[in-house]
Amino acid sequence: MFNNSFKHCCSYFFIITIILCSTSCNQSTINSKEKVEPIHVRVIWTENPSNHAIISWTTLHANGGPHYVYYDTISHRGNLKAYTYKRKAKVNGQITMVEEDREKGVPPGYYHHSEISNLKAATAYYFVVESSGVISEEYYFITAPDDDRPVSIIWGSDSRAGGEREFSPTFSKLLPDIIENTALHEIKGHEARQRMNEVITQIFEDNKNVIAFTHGADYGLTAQWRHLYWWLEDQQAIVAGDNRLLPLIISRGNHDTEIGFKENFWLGNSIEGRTLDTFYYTSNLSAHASLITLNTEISVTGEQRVWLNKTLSLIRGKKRWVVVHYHRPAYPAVKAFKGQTFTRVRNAFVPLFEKHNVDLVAESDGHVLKRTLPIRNGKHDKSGIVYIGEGGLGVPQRPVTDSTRWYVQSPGYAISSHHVHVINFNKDNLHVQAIGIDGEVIDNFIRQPRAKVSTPPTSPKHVR
Amino acid sequence: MSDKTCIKYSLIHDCSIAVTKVLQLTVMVQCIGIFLHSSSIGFFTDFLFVNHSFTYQQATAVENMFAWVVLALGIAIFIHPVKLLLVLISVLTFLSAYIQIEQGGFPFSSWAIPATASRYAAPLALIFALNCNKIHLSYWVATLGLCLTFATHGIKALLFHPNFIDYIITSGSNLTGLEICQSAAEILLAGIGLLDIICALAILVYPYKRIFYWMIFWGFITAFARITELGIDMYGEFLIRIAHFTLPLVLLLYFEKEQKHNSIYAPIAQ
Ligand SMILES: [Fe+2]
Ligand SMILES: [Fe+2]
Repeated sequence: MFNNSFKHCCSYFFIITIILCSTSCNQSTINSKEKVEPIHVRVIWTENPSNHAIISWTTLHANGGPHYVYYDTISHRGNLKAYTYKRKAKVNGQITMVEEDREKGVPPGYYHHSEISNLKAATAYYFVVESSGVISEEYYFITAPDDDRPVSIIWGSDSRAGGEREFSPTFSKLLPDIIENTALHEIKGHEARQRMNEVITQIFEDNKNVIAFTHGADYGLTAQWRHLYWWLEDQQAIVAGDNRLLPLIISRGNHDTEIGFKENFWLGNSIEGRTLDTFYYTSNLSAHASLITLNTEISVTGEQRVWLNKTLSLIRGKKRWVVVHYHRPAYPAVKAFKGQTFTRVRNAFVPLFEKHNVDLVAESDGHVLKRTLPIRNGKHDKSGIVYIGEGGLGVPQRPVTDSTRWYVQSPGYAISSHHVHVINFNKDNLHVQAIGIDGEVIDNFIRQPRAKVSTPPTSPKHVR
Repeated sequence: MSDKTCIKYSLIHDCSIAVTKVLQLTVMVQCIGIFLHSSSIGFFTDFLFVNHSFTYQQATAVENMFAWVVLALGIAIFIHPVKLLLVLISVLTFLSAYIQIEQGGFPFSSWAIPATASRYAAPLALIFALNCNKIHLSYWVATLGLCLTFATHGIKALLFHPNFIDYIITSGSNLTGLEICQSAAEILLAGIGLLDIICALAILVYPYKRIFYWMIFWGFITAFARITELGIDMYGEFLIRIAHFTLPLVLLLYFEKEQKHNSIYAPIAQ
């Protein structure tokens, strides 16, 4: 390794210097022609997806409102007058742009967020959005059930596009071919992300239990518009043939810290009135399945931990399945186990997971596929918690150069492979699958229920 | 040589030796910290591999090269401070801050250049400290580096940097057993932030001995907070921040020399 380093170091440093001077996006330039129709139409779920959803979209023009969502339980194919319900967008504004966004040619954008509530559980809602008199296509989504039927979610993370590199013609001419051939290789950009989105769409169409797509964060390199714009563009491909949208459950990662993230992912308030721009909350996926989203980018030992302890105390006895996900891993498969952030997350969250016996934890950020052994008190324990991850929705995958870490020994593992997980919440088991970039099943395992939940609880009736 | 010149020379000489030794130690320890950080977390790997499509092997080769070069330079200048090597250390340290901005991925990463100013100022302060005629430059480079670091940390504290909240809550619990709630930690941070900014400005416009004593103490405490929060494994994070408390020590040594010099010549001047 060191010999190789020595051989190539001079050329690498030379190339780094050039890159620092001339990085630019190789994604296609956006047609400057002003687009007027609403784009990036998406459904966001927060705490109570059986009766509440947020509909968000983007416009690429500054025309004034009004901005509305029209919705109904039957399709009206965009005939606005026929829809029973209509909601005005609650939050609208211009998406922040920085100089690099303009340089990369992304058009100015405007966010619109509308909140719809008092929905019926497990029901298809057909909707269109209207901005400045222009309406979108009609889409539909299905609300979460409030009974004990089996449900599944697609869970994945780290959809950052790969290398963004383009040498200016001057540098390209100056650069000796031998250096280019040694140090550069094929640039794939966001092809892997697009491919993973196709895989997600296929799973969504094939598995009728799938109700949501949960993103474990790091959507792009930053949450600035040039990165989120392309993420949202690619995300538009996740739609079934009959225009069914897969609702999104959002978390925040270490590359999502800019203001653009909150502008584009507005979650409103929690049932008890707490702002959800902290990006930690519980989603009731069914009467017996809860998904807890945590945020590793804010204090993990302060209010969030108090909330987590309280929430787990409240729901653990009532729910058969409690799954937690967040971005920075407590048990990183390739990144430094003793790294400051990972140690902090491990110290803050893991004791609570173990105290309340959560059923599964999904982590991100490492850019590898992993499953750990069941872990309790820092060691392998059959009664422990399995951690899956760790980010494979298109970001270049790290090779696993050290597979000796105790927690990724068989049946655990850590491999370099793009992936997405399907988590099936069944009555008898929690069935987890990892699916690769060609749609192949890479991992398949089940967890038995821990909670003694005898009778299905009454439906959650939080009316917003 | 007159008596006056002779005493002055001897004072500067004594002071310079002490300052030089402190700065040599600072730069070397800092280089060890950078080496440890580079070998575990990495500065370049993600930047090259993920952002710029280098192969993982190429990216880690650059990372390893960087880590070992910095370590070797740190040891070399501790044995014998060569100006060219010190310039190189300063440039590499600055480069690591620049890469942190490009790579992002942690709170306030875009502030890395002012936040780590003491790191790349320390080798430059040493270069000037090696030359008796440029002591004043050494003093000002150290002052500016320290000022930027304290001011940036002060603003981060005022904006409730999430890691700072966790340092306070966990260190408080580890050291005293006290449960500090987030709102209390935030009130504390506001006070700390304000004090940091006052110190940063004070050393520029009104240097005062007690301020340097406070900055030595506070620079040490905040660097050591990584260890009080998460344990001894965080020693690398502590080492990389050595300049936060050794630069105020350097300024104190300069300041005391200056005061001593003035008090010796006060009767002559009258
Ligand atoms: Fe990440
Ligand atoms: Fe990531």
